[in-house]
Amino acid sequence: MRKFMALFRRELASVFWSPLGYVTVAVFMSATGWTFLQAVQAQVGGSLQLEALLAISILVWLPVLITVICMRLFAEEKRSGTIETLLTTSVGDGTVVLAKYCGAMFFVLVGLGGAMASLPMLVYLAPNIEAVDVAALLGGGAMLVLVAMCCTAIGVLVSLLTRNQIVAAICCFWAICVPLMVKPLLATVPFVRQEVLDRLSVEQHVLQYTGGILQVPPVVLYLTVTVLMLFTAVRVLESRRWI
Amino acid sequence: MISVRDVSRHFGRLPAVRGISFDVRQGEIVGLLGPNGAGKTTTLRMLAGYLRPSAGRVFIDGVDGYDGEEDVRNRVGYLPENTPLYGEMRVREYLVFRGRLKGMARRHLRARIDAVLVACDLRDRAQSMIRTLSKGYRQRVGLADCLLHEPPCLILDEPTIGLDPNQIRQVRTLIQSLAETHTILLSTHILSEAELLCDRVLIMNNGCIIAADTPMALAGLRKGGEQIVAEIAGPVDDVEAAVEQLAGVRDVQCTQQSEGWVRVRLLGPGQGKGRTQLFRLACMQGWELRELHAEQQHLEDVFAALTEGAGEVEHA
Repeated sequence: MRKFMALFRRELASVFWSPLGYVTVAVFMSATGWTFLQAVQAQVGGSLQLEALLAISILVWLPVLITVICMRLFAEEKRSGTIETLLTTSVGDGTVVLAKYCGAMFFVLVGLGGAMASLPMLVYLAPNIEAVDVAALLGGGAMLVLVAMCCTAIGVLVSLLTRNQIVAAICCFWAICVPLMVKPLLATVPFVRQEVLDRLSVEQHVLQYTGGILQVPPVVLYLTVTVLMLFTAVRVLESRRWI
Repeated sequence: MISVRDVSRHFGRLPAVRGISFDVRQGEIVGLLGPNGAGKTTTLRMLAGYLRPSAGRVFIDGVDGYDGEEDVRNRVGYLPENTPLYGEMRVREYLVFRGRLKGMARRHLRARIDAVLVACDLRDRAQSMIRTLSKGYRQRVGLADCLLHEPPCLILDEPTIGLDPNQIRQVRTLIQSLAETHTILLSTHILSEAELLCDRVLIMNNGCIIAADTPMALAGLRKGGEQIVAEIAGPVDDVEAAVEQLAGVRDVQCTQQSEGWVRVRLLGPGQGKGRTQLFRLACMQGWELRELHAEQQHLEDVFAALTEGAGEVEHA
């Protein structure tokens, strides 16, 4: 646990002791806020509730936030060579992956929390909107956290595969976009039923949770993918010894 | 202390290390020499536990590197090439981080950090940001990290690369002082450094160890033994003909000097036999002899001969 905490703290320090973390969170919050306001103005009298609109606005920008944090996780260590000093101490590969993942998730949670908490301010700025449903906001937030967990795990894995941060960023972004765009992607495949598309759609899951429909399958799906990605990441890290 | 048995390492189909075996005894400083791509770094990485051998076994302090990987890492202080560090951390903060990764208890860690800061002469820089340090100081930080958990073995990959002459001297002095309490295996390109620092050297080429001995013994490895220089007073043709008749003598070059002296250069048998023969020849012929010495051979000559095929060696 001591080794995990040492690595976890270093991950946090590397983000929050530089402008990178603050700038990224600020840009993320501004972008989600702007998207949300545009959506609200575009759909006056529409059917979607306010909390759902905010959750979808966050979902749109989530890949960018996760890409910025994940692109440097392992790629930077590989580029600078510090991966060699890190992996020749008595820290297990699993601990390294988990600590980096938790560090990245902490940052993502700060971004998500900030964006969700900005709703009261946005409501103030948009006077045609009424009160906020806290339960719906929390439901949407919980689903967004699950999606972020899954996407961050994908980002960790992709970051392990290259030593170039630019390549890592591009690959991370597209790898994270795949699960988020699974519905439109599968919709182009003939004979795929609408029911299947709805079950796999991230957007649908977020809308269900903001609407108070708390289903177990999406939770299982995201947790399974998260564990699978992290397990693969540990195996990829171990493979350096053999390949 | 370090024992390597028939170790090979392949990267895909490319063999980087081919069945090498060697031992490093307790308290020794052993230098690993070789041209780029010889397999030095791969060997050191296997000893440090970063890579696993494709075949063979590595033992550190009696612990098998395969079965007791964590134990081995606790027994080794490893300094990779170019000393990778986290530039955004301060020196003491970095050592605290590294100590925690090595599982050291807080109180013990504090005492050890103070000790290694003194040992590596870093006390004045303890609060400096690592990115602001010179290369020499960064190297010291890397060495301080290696020493932190008191490992019996130090594995240093090119510890003086990229340093200026003053920094090289400082790091070299530091390594020499560490040798009193540690077993050290280091790789280097600087042959004079190996001659100065190392009790023994291993020369690698194409993934194999092609020579292993003390620097002094290796310097005498070239076939033909000694390069002998003499100045003899006599007719140049007679001198050349007589010298060529001596047993085991090759590559005789005679140059006429002023006042009837002839400068003779030759490759003669080692251990002084060539010089003895030449002295007797001069006495028998009644030629005056005003100079007779064996030119000292450096490890550099042997290294070039072994790794470039510039000459032959007696035993590899």
